[in-house]
Amino acid sequence: MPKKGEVLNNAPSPAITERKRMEETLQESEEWYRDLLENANDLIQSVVPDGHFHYVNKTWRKVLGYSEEEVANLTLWDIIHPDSIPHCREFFQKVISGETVNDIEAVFVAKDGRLVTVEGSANCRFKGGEPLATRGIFRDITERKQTEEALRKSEEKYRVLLTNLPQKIFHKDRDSIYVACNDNYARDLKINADEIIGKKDYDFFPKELAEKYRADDRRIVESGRTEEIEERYVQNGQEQIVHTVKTPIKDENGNVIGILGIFSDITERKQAQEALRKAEEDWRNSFNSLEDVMIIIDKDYNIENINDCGLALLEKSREEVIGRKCYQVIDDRDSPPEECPCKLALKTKQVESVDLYEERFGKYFSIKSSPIFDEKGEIVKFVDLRRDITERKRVERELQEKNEQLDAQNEELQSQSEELMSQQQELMEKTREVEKANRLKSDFLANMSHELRTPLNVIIGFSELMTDEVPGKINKEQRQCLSDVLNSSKHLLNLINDVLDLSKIESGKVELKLENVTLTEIIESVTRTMVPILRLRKQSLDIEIEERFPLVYADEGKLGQVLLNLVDNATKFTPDGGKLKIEAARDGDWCQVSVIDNGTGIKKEDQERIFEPFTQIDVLPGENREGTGLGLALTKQLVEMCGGKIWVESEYEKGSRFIFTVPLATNGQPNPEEGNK
Amino acid sequence: MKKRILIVEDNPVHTRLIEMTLRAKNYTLLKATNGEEALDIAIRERPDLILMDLNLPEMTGFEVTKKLRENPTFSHTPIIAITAYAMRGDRERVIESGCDAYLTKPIDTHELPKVIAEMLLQCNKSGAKE
Repeated sequence: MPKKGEVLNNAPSPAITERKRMEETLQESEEWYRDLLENANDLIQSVVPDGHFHYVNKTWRKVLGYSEEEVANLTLWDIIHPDSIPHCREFFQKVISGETVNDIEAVFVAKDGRLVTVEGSANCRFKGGEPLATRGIFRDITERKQTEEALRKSEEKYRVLLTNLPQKIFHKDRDSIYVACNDNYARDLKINADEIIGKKDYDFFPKELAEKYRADDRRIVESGRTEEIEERYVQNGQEQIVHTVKTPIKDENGNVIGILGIFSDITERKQAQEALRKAEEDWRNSFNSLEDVMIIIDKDYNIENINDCGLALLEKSREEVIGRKCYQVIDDRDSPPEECPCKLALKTKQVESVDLYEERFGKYFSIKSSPIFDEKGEIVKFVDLRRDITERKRVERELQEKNEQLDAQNEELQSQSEELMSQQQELMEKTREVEKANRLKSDFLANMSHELRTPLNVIIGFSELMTDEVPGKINKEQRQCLSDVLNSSKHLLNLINDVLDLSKIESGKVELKLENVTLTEIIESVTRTMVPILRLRKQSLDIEIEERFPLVYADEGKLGQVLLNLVDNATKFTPDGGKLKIEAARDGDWCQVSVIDNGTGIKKEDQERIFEPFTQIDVLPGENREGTGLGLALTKQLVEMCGGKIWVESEYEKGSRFIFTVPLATNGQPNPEEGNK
Repeated sequence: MKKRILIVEDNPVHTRLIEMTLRAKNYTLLKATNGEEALDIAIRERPDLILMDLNLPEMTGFEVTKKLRENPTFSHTPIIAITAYAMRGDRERVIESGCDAYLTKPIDTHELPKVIAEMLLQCNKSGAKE
C-alpha cells in the first residue's frame, strides 16, 4: 500500500456510524481500485507538476527496479533517457495544460541502467483549475522494439544483399504476381523496385514472352522443383545469354507459395567458355591432324596425351594408352631406352632429337623431345614429336645406291673414255696415215699424169705434123685416121689434165691468188673463149649483170675456170640453137653467178650426184660433147676453195641453172670501167 | 745467117718431134741429150736460142740453165723451158732459174714455132739496141 495514499486518507473523522459505514464502503472501494492499479500489467504513474511522482504502480517499480521509498525521491526527469527528455517535456507541458497526449513513446532508464522503451498516453487531473497530478499509463515495448529492430536490420541486410547482387532477382507469388524484386531487376524494367509489387509479367513484356514466363512459373509451382533455364536474347544487335534459376518458395508445410527467380548475364562467361572450347578444339584438331606422331609425356614418362596419328601407329585406342609409360606402350620395355630423347632432355634440359629405326614398326623415325618447364624451371612434361622418315631414308638409300651405281658407271665411262682417247689417238694416227696415203695418191696421180702426158705429147705432136703433111702428103682416108687419133689423144689429155688438177687441189698443192677482181672482165674473157663453140652449135649466150657491179674477191684464174667449165657444160647439154645465159646478182656480201640453159635438165635424183667425180649424164650427140666426168667435181672444189658454194636448180627436159657464190670485195667499190660499158 | 737453136732433150723421139715441127723453118738445129753435152755445145756453138727440157738425167735443166746464166756469153740468150711438170711453184722455179719462157708438154706443134720466132725477134731488137 502506498504510504502517501495512507497519508492522504488518514484524515481524522468523527466516529459516526453512518459515516463509519460510508467510510468503510469508501475504503473498500478505494482498496479495490488501488488493487486494480497496483496489479495492472502496464506501467502506471502519476506526476505532480513539479515532476515528483505522486504514484507509481507495482509493475512500474518492478520494470524500473525502484522501491517505493526510492520513487519518493525521484522526479520524472530522473528516469527518462536524455534523448527522450526534449519531447517528453513537450508532452508533459501539454498534459499539465489539459491535453490528453496519446502515442507517447519514450525511453526510460531503469535503476540498473537498462533502457526500457515505453508507449502510452497521459492526461492530468485538475482541482480548482489548477493541475493536481498527471495520469500516465505506459506499456513496456522494449522487447517488441528489439524484435522490430532485429527484423529491420535483417531486412536491411537482405535488402543490401539483394540490391548489390549482380543477379536480377524477383519474387512472385504462386499466381505469378510480383511480390518483390531487386534494383537490378527493376532497372531492366525501368521502374523502382517497390513499384513491382502487384504487377504481372504482362505489364512489362510482350504477350508471347509473358505467356512463356507464366508457363514456366506454373510448371515450377506444379512440380515444386527448381529449374535452370538458359536463354539467348539479341539486344541492340548483340547476343546476350541469360541463365535463369527459378525456385519454388515453400511454406513450412511444403506448399509452394511463390517463385524466386534469379537471372545472371552469362554472356561473357559463355563467350569465354566458347572461346576456350574453340581454342581447345582447334588445339585438338591441330594435334590430331598432325601427320607426325605427337605424344605429351609427363616427367615420369606417363603418356598424358597422344594424337590420332600416334594411335594409328600403335593401333590402340586413346584409353589404352593414356596414363601408361611411354616406353611400355611404344617400345614394349620396362625402362626407357638409352637413346630415348626424353631421357636425354631430362638431363640436358634442352630439346633433344634422334633418328632411329624402330624394328617393331619397321620404320625410321626422327624423334624430337621438347621439354616444358614450370615457373621454377623444372621439367614438368615433354612434347615428343616423331616423324616417319622411312620414305626419306629409302630415298636417301636409293640415292646413295644410285650414286654408287653412277660412280661405277662413271668409272666405266672413264675407262671407256680412256679407251676412246686411245682409239682417238689411233684414229688420229690413222688419219695421219690416211692423209699421208692421200698425199701419196695425189703425188702418184701427179706423177702418173706427167708420165702419161709425155708419150701423149709425142702422139699428138706427130699426128698434128702428119696432118699438116710435114713428113709428106697423105690421102683423105689417112687424114681421117689421123683426125681420130688426134681427137682421142686430146680427150685423153683433157682427162689427164683434170685428174691432175683435181689431185693437185686435193693434195693442197694449188695456191690461190685472192684479190679484188672485176667479174665482167672474166665473163667477157669466158665468152670470147666460148664463141667458136657457140657459133658451131648456133647457141646464144646472154649476159645479165647490173651496171657498176662491185668487185669480187677471188682468184681470177680459178674463177674464170669455174665459169668456163659451167658454160662449157651448158653448151654440151643444150641442143643446137639453144639459149644460154650468165647472170650475176648481189646477195648481201655475196655475188651470186648463175649459168642458165634451156637444155636437157637434170633429173632430181641426179642433182646431188653430178658434183661427184666420174659422174656423167648422157650428153647430147654432137661433135666434142663428151666430158671427162671430172668437170663439175673440179668446179665445185674451186668454188669452195674461194669460199663459195655451188648448187643446181633444174627441171628435167626444161633446162638447168647452176649457181655459185663468190664473196664481194670488202671495200667493194664498183669497177669504174663498168659504168662506161 | 741461119739462127741456131740448141735442143736439150734426153728423149730422142721428142727431139725428132721438135726437129720435125721446126723443119719448115730455116733454123740450124743443135742437139744435146744431157746437161754436160748441152753446156759443151752451147759454149762451142753459141746458139741463138735454147729449148731446154727440165727433166734431164743427172744434171737437171734448172742446173744447166743456172750454169749458162753464170756465163756472161749466155746472159741474154733466150732459153725456153719445156716441161711436163705443171705442179705448184713450177712456173716460179722455172723463171727463177733463168729461163725466159715456159712451155708444157705436149708440145703444141703450131704454138712452138710461133714462140721461137717471137723470142728471136725480141732478142734481135734488144741486141740491136745494145
